[in-house]
Amino acid sequence: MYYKNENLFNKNSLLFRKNGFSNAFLQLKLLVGFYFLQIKNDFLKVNKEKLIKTTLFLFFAGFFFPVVYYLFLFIFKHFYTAQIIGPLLVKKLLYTFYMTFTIMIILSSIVASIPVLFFSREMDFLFSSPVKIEIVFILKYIKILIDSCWMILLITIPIFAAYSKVLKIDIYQYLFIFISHIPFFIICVSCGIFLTLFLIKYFPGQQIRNFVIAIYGIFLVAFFIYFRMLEPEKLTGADFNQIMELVRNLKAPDNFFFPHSHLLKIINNVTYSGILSGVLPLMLLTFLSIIFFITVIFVAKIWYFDGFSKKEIFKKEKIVKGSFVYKKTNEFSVLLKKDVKYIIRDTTQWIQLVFLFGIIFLYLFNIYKLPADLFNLREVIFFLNIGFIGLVMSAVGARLILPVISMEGRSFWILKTIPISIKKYVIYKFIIYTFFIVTTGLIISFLSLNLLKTHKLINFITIFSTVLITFVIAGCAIGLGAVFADFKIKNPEDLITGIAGLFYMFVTFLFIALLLFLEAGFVKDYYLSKILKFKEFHIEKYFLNYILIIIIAFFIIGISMWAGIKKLEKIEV
Amino acid sequence: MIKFINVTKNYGKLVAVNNLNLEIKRGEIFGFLGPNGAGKTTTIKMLCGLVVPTYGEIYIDGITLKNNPVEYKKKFAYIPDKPFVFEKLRGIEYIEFIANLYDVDSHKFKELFTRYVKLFEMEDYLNDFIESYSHGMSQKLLITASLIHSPEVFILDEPMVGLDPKSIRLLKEEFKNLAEKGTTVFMSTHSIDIAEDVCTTVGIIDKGQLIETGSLKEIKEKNKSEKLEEVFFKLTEENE
Repeated sequence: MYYKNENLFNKNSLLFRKNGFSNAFLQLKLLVGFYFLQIKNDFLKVNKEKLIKTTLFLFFAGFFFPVVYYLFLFIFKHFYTAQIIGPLLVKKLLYTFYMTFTIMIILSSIVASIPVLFFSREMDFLFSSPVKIEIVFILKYIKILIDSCWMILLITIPIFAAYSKVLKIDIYQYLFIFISHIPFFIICVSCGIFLTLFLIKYFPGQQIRNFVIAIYGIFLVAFFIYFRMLEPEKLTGADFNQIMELVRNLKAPDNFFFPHSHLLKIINNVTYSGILSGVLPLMLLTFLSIIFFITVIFVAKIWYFDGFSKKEIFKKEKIVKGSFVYKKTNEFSVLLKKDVKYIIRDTTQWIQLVFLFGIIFLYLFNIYKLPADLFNLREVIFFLNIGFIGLVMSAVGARLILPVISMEGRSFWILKTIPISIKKYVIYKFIIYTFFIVTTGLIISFLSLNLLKTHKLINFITIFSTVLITFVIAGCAIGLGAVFADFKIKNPEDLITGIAGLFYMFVTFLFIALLLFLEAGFVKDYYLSKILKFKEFHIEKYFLNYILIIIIAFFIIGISMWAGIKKLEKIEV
Repeated sequence: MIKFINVTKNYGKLVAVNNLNLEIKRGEIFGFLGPNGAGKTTTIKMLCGLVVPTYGEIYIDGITLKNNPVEYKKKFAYIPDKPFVFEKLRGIEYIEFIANLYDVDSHKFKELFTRYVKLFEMEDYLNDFIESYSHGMSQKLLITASLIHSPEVFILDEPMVGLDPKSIRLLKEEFKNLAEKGTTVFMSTHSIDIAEDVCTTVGIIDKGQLIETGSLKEIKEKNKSEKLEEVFFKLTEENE
């Protein structure tokens, strides 16, 4: 027997029963069952790569949860212990966070719903099968809900664990707050899907998605910059006016029409007056979520299929006679031209540039706002500046360079069959991205050194180290990006947050740590010779260290690139 | 022109292609026939270097991929069954991209570009982004771009799928023209009619094993049949 679920083919099959609510429910059950069967089959298909992925994921989760927990423990403690208005500060802080979460979920549900509702491969099958549109929609709704909210739901576990600890709430209150998030998510996702169904009536799906991704990126970066510019560190030893200024700046609209206002009412009631006081607001929130859910189903009944049938409308542009002139160029320029066009036209790439700008801005802002009492430790700071620049550039490399080979996608067969060796192709990518990352690294170095106003020798060491680190980052990102290339991914995040990203981060962090370790003696002796005038400083004593650093850098680049080339030569597409 | 020597491809315990020995001469139009899952696409992908054979060697004009990958790749053009092309490029940009990589000079480009774009009626679509193309349009774009660099070997996996009847007829005629000029055509197809119509030699593969090869006349005579279709069913059923 090929298929165990006889319900589908049976005369009394679920699909052939008379209409009605029970039939609709059974159809939904059958389709959900199919999805679970696929997930189960995928889960049971154990292979080495999957095992490594799962182990690394668990390892990462084991690392991620405590980090978020301690970070928020620090933030909540910091705010809660502020004189007089500690609880108000925490409340304001939560409002700011949840306002952000609301926007994030709405935007990410738009991003998730376009491929899920309109571009999944099974859509033609689902629309041609004897299943009601509402059922297809509910099935897709569940997927969008999970796709857009799982990360925020997971992150609330350590955040509220920290919250519980600082505000001393018990496990039942904690669970009550946790469960209250579900209707909140349903409302936000329903809004996102409603917007998608509306927009798709007037604009091509892919363009909406790319536009929303760009907005999402800008929003996230803007939020971090905004939060950083509040300078919460000023709370330590701050006077009343400074605290009030922070409270004023923690602007977050509180209105009946915002779903997070209801959730925060539940959180506050449960925290300060116990679970019972949260029951009524939870009932109201749940009722609202049901109304939103039903409304969006009705809207989908009218708009969904219509939107599906005109999801992509392309503008036709004829070639104007004589406007095209064939220009013969070399291989390098041809590949470069293609990549540049891709970066400009693929708006999903723009989000990476927004992140790049955000990361650099935050870093330079932190240097600029260096507390005055830390200025005595300037020597230590600008030595650490080398490491920080390295970390910032490593994050930039992960976002912008690591996925570039995988982003060739299913068209990679073209690159494998054209008369360019894989070695040449990988080296081409390395040259292009090395140029990009070394330039970016040097700009940050110059700007941060200008802000720190350091000694000439240290300036030189910082620049030398930045060049070396960025070379290693480019080599690792291209090499490991090739080793872990996955041409089926559509979103670079899949690679960044997978084994490739973890392995890349591990190698680059290790190199930065090694570099700092080998440079520490040199920098220490240099400063001692400046402070204690009698201590002599001999630069030649450290040549060996620098030669060792250069050898290690070349070794890492060489190994990564070699492994990447070998993998791409053997990869079957 | 093309030579497979003891080529085998295993996927774990599954033998996708089993000890394939085959030779195709210059100027031949070779039709590779076989049921679904017989090993046609795997063989074609091995020929193009997209899949690495477990054992054996493949030669194009005496060159192997292992020994001289760039020269090997210069010899052929490949049209896959699923035409994934850089979708953020315009059709015209893709053709220019391929022409540059195969070092096509401006004079030759102008001549062949005009000829093939007109032949496959691509003028109205070349300035559009490839993401807006249908399957057939992408197929025609790939064929046009491939023909502009005049490959010595033209490898096609199910080339007629998605093409409109007029384009199918034009492509068949073009195969014959190319073969007359010495280009070798290696194509897989499910359509026995097409194979009978254009191919000079045919190979039938089933369960990874080449069960028959030769010219159409030879195969029909050997199997005492007038029709290639009858030969195909007879051989594949015998192999059950």
